[in-house]
Amino acid sequence: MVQMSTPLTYDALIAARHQEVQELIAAEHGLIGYIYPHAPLELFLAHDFTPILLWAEPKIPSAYEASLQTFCCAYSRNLFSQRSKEHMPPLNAILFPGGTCDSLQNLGDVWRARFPDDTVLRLTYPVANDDMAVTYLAEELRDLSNHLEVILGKRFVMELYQKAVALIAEFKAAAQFIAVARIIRPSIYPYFEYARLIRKFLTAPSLNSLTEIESVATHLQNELRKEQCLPTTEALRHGLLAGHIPDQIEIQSTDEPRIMIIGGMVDSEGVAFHFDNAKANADLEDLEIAFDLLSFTYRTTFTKAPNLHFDPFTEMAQSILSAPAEATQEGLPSRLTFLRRVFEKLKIDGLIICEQSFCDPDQFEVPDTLKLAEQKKVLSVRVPLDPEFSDRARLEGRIQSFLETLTAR
Amino acid sequence: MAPDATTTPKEKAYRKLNTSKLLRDTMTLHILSTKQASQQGRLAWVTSGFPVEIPVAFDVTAAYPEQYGAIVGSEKCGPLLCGFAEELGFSQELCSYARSSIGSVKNPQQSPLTGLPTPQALLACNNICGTVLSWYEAVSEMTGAPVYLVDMPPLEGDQPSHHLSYVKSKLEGLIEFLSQTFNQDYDEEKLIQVAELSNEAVSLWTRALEACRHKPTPLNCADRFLSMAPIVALRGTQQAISFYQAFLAEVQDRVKNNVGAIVDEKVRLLWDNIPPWFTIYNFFNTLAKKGVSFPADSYTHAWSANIPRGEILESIAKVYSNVYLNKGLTAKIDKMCSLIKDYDLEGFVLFSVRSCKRYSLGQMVTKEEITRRTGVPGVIIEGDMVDSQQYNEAQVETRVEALLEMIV
Ligand code: SF4
Ligand code: SF4
Repeated sequence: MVQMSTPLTYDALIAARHQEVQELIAAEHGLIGYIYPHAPLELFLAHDFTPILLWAEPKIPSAYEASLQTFCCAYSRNLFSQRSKEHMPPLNAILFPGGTCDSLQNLGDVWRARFPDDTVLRLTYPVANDDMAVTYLAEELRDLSNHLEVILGKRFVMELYQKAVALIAEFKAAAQFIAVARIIRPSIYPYFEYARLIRKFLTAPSLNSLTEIESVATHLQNELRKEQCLPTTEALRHGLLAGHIPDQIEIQSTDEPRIMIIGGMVDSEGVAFHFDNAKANADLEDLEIAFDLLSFTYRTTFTKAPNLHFDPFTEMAQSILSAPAEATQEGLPSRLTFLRRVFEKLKIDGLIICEQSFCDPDQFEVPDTLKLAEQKKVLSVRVPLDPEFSDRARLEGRIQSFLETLTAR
Repeated sequence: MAPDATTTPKEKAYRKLNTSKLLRDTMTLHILSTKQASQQGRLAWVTSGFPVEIPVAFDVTAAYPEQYGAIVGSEKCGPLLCGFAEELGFSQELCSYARSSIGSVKNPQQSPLTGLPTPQALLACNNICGTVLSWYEAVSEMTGAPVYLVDMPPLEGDQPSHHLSYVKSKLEGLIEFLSQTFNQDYDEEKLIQVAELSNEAVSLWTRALEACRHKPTPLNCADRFLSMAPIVALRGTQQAISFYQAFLAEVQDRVKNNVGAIVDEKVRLLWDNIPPWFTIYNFFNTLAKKGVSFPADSYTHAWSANIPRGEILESIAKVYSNVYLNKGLTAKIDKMCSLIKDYDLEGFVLFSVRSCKRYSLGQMVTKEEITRRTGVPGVIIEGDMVDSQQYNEAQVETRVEALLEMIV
């Protein structure tokens, strides 16, 4: 039986994350915080550190003004304010990405200058995913590994790496299955719960959080087996992992409109929470998000697992670079081709576009996404948001009227 | 000495360069050549930090959307063109070079020079920022021209060998892309010749910049920002060399005769970032009237590295990866501190350009660190280089006044 959590307030969601991290601290885990979704989790675990995905704090008073301008992306500003207010968990190090977006690139430099006692790590990504890019990133990962050993005094342990690969691969397989099961039948499991399980694991990757998501995946597997949908579900999962939707996939039409969410580094759990409020306000409780293309859910989990038979660094690099649809990467035409296919094959009726304040990668992508949605007769709404969801009433109001229009169609 | 308005109303506080006519002619010819190249199917739009020597060696003419953005700014039609992009759904928060470029593609008839001629390729290099890729991909969707990205991941400190190999592979990819797109074979000898022409122009330009150590400075900020056009757009061509020979001769002549760019130089400052194009003369000339000159800036010095002798693609990969914008905040601060020292500057103005996160985020740290290291005061002014709606002239004036009060 799938466990459903009681409805929470948004503050309670954030409190739950703090609780997860507190447990890690109590258990004396070494912690490495990261911001960009495609961090080498296996590498940190192999060095006996627990990677934790940092998040924007809704109630943090702003404390960036003496160091960053307002046109720095809101997400980066929030993280900086948290650190200034000493609101972050005690981290052994924090990982900044290089080469992903201009805000984060510079934030790393400013962070180093303002918090010289912090251990700031940098992993610079290539903006491509050809063989040379894999080689480049593999070397960056090797350098990072050496750094972890020299600076933090913990070496790469093969046995830990093997366990980490298994842990992350099982988590991703479970997350992928739930995502695909929900595409086939969105009502099978609430989107909010799906986003919550992923967030929980990424906040504190552990066997416990793995068990929770795996049990949901197993339950859904049984459901779909009974309905004889399992082969389709698996075919779709494999297809999406390879970056396409197989021809044989046929989604059954239903009375409910099929809704998709797209965007970058927005808090999927937070978006789901506000979506649920909006649908409750609209008296449309049965509506569900069918599919998302967000960084912290779909784009993080639909990546290939490293193969234990080959060089760990090359394998981790390949895994990271297999992340789909990331707007910080090269390839708008292929992203649009994929999106077109998603609209057609997954029978999308409505699209919610999340646009994070001052986020160049997100904002550049929006016009072509809107154009495509219009061509494909997908009703769309553009939802500007900040990572704190500070204007909740407006956000929910916008989604609510979108849902009302969509259902009236 | 206190800066004051000492010049008589009739006497101009700044001196126009004689080579400005040559500059105008050189750039007009360049604009005509881009139109012709587009008609012949041999035009590429290129980012300012792109290793342009490679397309030039393929007889591909380069047009620079960033330079076009400067024209849009100077013509004061930034808000109009940015508005066209916003109508398409591009956020007002995005780079105004990108927005005005996209706006001009949408509505060429309402754009200065009827926009840049249609490109057959879009060549981006992200050694200046990450924005250029998204920008060019958006233009590609509108024009159908393919994008080639020379990916140069940002560096921290020295360039490791895997970085060099990776960038080199991207240059090899570029050669393949150009061969296919423009149906022409790669000629390494020709690339070496183009690199030599490029080096010669860069050397002339660098010598002119270095002449500004002289007191009074022979070039003010606006002079450099305008006369950098050929080093950006015509690197690797004989036209650039011809222009900079004449330009350097005039600069040297000014130095020899102690003729300053401004009539009565009293305070020497450093400028950081792109200028507000829509008010470039007004801004610098108003200060010139108060005896304030800008003998150095962090921006126009970006085109000052020679491609070293050796394996050509490796040399290009080294030079273009190591532009200081690709090397983080410390490299930028080091550069600015050395400019303050070498050019004997008494203060600095950091222009916080809302459009340009890569160049501007970090300026608050920069300001404190430069003052700590050099002892000279600085100020941050805010605005945009193209979108005049984001610029508050009165506020800028007040801040600069406050800086001048600290200096005198
Ligand atoms: S939200 Fe956007 S701009 Fe901010 S860190 Fe993420 S990708 Fe970069
Ligand atoms: S973001 Fe800055 S560096 Fe990039 S194109 Fe715009 S102005 Fe130039």
